[in-house]
Amino acid sequence: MNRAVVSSYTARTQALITATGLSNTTKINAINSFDLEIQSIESKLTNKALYLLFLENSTWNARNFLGTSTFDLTFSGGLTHTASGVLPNGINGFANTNFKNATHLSSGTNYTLFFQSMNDSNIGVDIGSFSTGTLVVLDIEARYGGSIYAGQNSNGYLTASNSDGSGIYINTRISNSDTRLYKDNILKASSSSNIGTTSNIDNYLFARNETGYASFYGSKKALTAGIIDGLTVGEIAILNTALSNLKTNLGV
Amino acid sequence: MIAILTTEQKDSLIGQTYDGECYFNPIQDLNDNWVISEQEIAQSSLQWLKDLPLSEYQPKPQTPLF
Repeated sequence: MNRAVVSSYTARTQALITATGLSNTTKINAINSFDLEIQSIESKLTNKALYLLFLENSTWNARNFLGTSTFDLTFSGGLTHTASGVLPNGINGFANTNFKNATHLSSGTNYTLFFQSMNDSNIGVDIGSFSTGTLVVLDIEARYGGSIYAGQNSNGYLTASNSDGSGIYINTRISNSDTRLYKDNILKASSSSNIGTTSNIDNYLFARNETGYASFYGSKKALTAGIIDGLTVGEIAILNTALSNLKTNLGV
Repeated sequence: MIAILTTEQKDSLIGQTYDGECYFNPIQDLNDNWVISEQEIAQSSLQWLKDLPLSEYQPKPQTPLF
């Protein structure tokens, strides 16, 4: 009797396995559990970008886990692909997400940037863009000169002191009057001021896109990173927990 | 660590990948030399790159973000 083979993995996990040939069961099971956890914020993930950067080679790490290949990463410069993330060299290593805020965010303005940092360094932009013409910045600097900075997709920043650049950083705007910066699910800064601008240039990972060229190269190793729609406080907690559990399940 | 390139060497690397996926990214250092990183060299199969001497990177001064 023929039996249908039913995958025990989520569609996204199975798609990753099929596309890459990934066979490491620790990684597969960790990814599958992560995907099950983030399905409760699915409406914020559709046609957005999420990168799993612990797959140990550039071809696999470039893939947008959420499936929209438009946002597959384009890597350039000095990068090292390890089991605990991609380490940029702080000199010329970065990746283009090919994700443009005004075009690809559902509202055009509300956003979430996240960056899961595996090490401390006190330099560089970790993910983001800066439109020099309109002076619009959207980014995360997990630690720069002793502070976290989070560009608000405007000409403003959220900021807080930070003595360790590792951790899970989430920079989100759910409405023009509600922007928040979290580290490890702890609110570090927020703003209720009205913000109405946005830019339309690609966001870079491990640097910022300064209207066409990479600047402020970072040296923080990323386990994951992404650009999705704006999150509520409850959704921030879900994402943070899922990212934290992923790191634990990977054993890194 | 970085290696200094001639302009011709830099031009030959533009648009090329060093591992089939990652692009070379020559940048200019403090003295306007074109340089690439040791990571790019280590992951490339181009033998002539591996013969280049490595030295400390001297960055251009950058206006602080804040």
